[in-house]
Amino acid sequence: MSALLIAVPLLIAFLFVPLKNKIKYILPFVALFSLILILKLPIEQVNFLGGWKAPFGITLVLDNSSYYSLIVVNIIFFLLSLIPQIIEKDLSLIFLILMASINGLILTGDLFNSFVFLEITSVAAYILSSSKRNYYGAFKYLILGSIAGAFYLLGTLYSYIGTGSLNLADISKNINSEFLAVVPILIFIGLAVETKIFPLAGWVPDVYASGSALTPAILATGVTFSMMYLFGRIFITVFHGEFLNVVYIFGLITVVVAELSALKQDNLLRALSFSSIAQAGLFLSVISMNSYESLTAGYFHLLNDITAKFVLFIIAASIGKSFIKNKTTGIAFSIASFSLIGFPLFAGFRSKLLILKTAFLNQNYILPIILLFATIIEIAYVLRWNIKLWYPDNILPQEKEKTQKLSWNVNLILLIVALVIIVIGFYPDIYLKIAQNIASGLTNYRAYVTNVLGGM
Amino acid sequence: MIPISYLVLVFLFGSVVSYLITKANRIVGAIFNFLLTFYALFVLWNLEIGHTEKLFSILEGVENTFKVSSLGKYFSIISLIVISLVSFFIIEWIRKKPSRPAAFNAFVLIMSAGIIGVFFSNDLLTLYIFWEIAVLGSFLIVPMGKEDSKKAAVIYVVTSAIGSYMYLFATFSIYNKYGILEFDQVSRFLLNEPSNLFKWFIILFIASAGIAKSGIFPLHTWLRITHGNAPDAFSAILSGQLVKMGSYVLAISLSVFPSTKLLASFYSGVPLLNYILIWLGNISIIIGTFMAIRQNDMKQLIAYSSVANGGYILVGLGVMNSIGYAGGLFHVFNHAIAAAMIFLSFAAVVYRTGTTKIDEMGGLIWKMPWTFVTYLVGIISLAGIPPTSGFISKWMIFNALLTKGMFVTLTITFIGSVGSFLYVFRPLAGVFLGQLKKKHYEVKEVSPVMLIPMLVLTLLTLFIGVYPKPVLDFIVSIENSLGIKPIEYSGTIIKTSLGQWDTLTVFTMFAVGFIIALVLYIIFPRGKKVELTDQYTGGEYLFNYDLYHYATGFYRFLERLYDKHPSFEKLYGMLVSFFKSMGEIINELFYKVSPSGYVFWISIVILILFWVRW
Amino acid sequence: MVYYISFILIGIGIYGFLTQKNLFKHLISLTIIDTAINIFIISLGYISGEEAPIYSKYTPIANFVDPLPQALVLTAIVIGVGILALGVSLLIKVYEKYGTLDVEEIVAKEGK
Repeated sequence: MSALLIAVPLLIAFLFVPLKNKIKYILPFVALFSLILILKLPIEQVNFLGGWKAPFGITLVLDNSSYYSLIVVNIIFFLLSLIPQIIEKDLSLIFLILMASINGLILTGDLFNSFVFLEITSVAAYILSSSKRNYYGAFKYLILGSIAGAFYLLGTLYSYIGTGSLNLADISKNINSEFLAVVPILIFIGLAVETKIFPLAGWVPDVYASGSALTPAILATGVTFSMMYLFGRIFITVFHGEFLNVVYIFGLITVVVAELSALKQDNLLRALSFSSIAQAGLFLSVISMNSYESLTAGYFHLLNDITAKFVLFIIAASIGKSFIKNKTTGIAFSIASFSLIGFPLFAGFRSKLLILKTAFLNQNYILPIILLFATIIEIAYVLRWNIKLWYPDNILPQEKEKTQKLSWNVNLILLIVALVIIVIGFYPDIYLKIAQNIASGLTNYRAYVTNVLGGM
Repeated sequence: MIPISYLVLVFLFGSVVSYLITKANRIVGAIFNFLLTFYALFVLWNLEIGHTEKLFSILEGVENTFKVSSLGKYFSIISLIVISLVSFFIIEWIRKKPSRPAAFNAFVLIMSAGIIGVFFSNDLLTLYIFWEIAVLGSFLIVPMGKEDSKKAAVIYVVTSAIGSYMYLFATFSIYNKYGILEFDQVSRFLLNEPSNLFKWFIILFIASAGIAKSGIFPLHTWLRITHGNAPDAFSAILSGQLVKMGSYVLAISLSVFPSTKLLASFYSGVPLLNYILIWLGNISIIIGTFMAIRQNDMKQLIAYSSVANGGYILVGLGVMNSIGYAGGLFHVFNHAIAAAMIFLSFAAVVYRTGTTKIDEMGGLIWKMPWTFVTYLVGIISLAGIPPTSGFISKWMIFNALLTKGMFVTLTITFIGSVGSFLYVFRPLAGVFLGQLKKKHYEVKEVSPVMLIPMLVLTLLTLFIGVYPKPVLDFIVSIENSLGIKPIEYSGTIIKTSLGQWDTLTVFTMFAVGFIIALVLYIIFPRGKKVELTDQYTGGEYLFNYDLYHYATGFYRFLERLYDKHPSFEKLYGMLVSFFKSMGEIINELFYKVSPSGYVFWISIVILILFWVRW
Repeated sequence: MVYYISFILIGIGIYGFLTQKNLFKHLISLTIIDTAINIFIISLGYISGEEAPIYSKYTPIANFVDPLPQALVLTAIVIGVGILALGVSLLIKVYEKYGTLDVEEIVAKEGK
């Protein structure tokens, strides 16, 4: 059943190639279909493709963590499909392919398969990022992404040499110290580009700030989330938390560096993309404390971040120089940015508290300092942008006339998401439950192994 | 009587209502705000000490609660007096001023909700949450002011964040170590804490939120730009109320966590930590006073005076004996009222003239006499001249310093007092006295709606100056609840070990003097008023109006002495540009490079990783 | 032996990236790295003296080289070709937009 999540979007994408102008209107139905399908699927189910048993065949694993990640990602796709204005007409196909590949990326229980899905996702992302004539940025992304993909492939190969298997559960069972010396490094580099770790995330600002609303709205939310899921799956479930101390340091450096770079940006989208990098770094350093609590805090924070970024990126890309004609949009923007900073009453505050709590619990005092320092910088630029948009300097009347109102469905969806941010600020249980489920699925690697390999 | 938590909710939802009402009619919206804040004042006045309410629980093991303490009640009543009177002022002021009146009114209510929550929080986390709500509400209002106000808002919120994040860090350290956050339990655990370092760290980090908020050196720079550029009426709340939130946190960090019992005495019963804080207060007094003397913008001038007065409060609280602590608390009241008076009178002046530059005004006493009276009483109270209440608190602080033998601090506070005469005189002479400018001939006194709150404040400070019992009662109950020996007073006489002060006698003396002067003024013939150009000097007729009103470079002879002073504003500016250029370098090196650069960095990372692992 | 070839090829690819200023040459360097990795994968599964893993009546069962890397390499080649095609088409667009493929000239034109 879970294979349908990958097959249906792909199939529809191919079927509708001749009708690619119409495909826009089918997207919501496809997204809704996969969302319903996921909700109907039983958890703890392993799908052996072609009937081959676990270490030999290809498996699609649906456990707690992949189930909830799928829900999150598909909700994002569904929300985006309801805003057809931001999807340029040729990109609808890519949208479907991206959907299929991300579902596959989350479902797969096979390292090489995850490489294939990673590459498909990347290719879709390259094409998405070339919208708005941003060819050079997309090319840079392509070079970086392909080199990273090559390293990921090497890592896959080495783990095959080391353990004789490509199945994640099987690798997890058979890891040995020799193999652990090399493979995590290669996989880390392979994933670092997509998870936006410091020296390898050079593509992010160029791609996110291309001016298209769809590109950052999907790359910074759905794609980032699935990559973070994959990162957790590989480094925590498969490698049992090996190598995470290095990730921790890289994460912290990423936070500081990205926030500093964001400070001087004179383009809102660029500033937000640096913020996105910084939050990814923060997430990685939080989960690298490798406990159930820290993973919960990390994924909870990631959920809050992508919710806020969803609103921020769409508005930043589609609004002109001010909120003069789009007050409701402005309110959604402000709510999302307050959540990003972590003001009380908003969702971001809860995750900040949770991160601080787990960090202190782990006797880790550097992470809170970095987090608070980074937040101060983030406050400076995010609020400066808020003020700039709310109180614009001498807007000319003809410019004022030129800014058009956003249409009602965009505003409605943005407002709903902004409302979710406030609700989460008061009752974080919904997000917390998702984060806890993902965390428990990732940390409990024994259950994962028995689930896939069947009590061996 | 409704519970405090409902009151906070009423304010939060009231902000939406206020927004909608103000959209329809600004004046009705402002009246709504005034009624709500006045009602809150009434509710808070009738609260019983010890009343507790459960709110929510965010962290395990910590129930977030409201609890009415004497200290919180004292601060909250002062705050609500200021806010409700300023709201009354706004009823008229809003007709002309802020660019977005609806948002302005809504944010005032959000801020007030946060403020009420801060003063009744029973644990560190609740305080933080409401603190940030208050910051959020006030931050959103600041950019509605003058041109620089957008920059000011960011500076304000960043400075505030520096303080509050240090506070948050300390909060989580406590939570991690003891598993509790309630104030009384924290102080109990701290008393049993063997590590001196930890106590230092906790008290300093918690106090830093107060230092940032009340504009104590080294985080004082935001006051000038924020108070100077915020909407005029809102500056009164900023200086009269929000800054006092900082004093509240300072009072908590020094007295609720009993610093004198926690740490060993360093100098006549005062621990080293308090001593350092007192010195920060001293530096603030010096900086605030001397920088205020230099300012030509009247709002920025009083903003610097807020720095100095924050210093006085910190010095008083830091001494931590019965009279010093009482003096500090009393000064909170005095400065709140005086600052509100002064900023409201400035707001009235700006409302009519449209400028805040001292040298662009003059002689407004003829046109705006009641505004002048408010300003006059305000500065008398600020400078600490009897019979206003401002004298009492300064007298108490001097007294405490003298008994403790802190003569350097005493000298500095005296210098600050003398300096305050100088700087408050500058707007007095420049704005109200001297020659009326031609362009201000048509200026009229503001309407009664604006005058009433100003005069209520005037009467309040005079009344407390004569009869300080209501405030002193509060202070005694606070000192009792915190285990500090309460000050002694009977009727209008305050007693200390160095002597006593009878406010009634002093008032009678001043009143007699005033009456004599008044009689003389009535008996003797009036001076003749002439036009400025209706005279000649040195044999020449006068044609130029502006030459003969002395307001530009008012204290040039003093300023010359410290023209080349080191400036912390510049230092922080340099720090910010350092961060910015760091970011630029990083951006150029890592994010803007071509594919070659990316591959270079990938290779570097691989080399580092393999080097580290093998 | 084959390992060394693939490592040398990776080195050539990285050298190409670091020294060249033409975007097309970057793409070629990328392909070289890809190829190097593919060769490496093949070499991993190769056992000298064994037969190709094609099951037929002429070949005895036990003497195959490891078939899995070959299966993987096929997929990797396909993906590599796809990316190469995408890269080339992006470069055509880049050339249409900027009129050049030189990195420094593009950066100069972006700055304007």
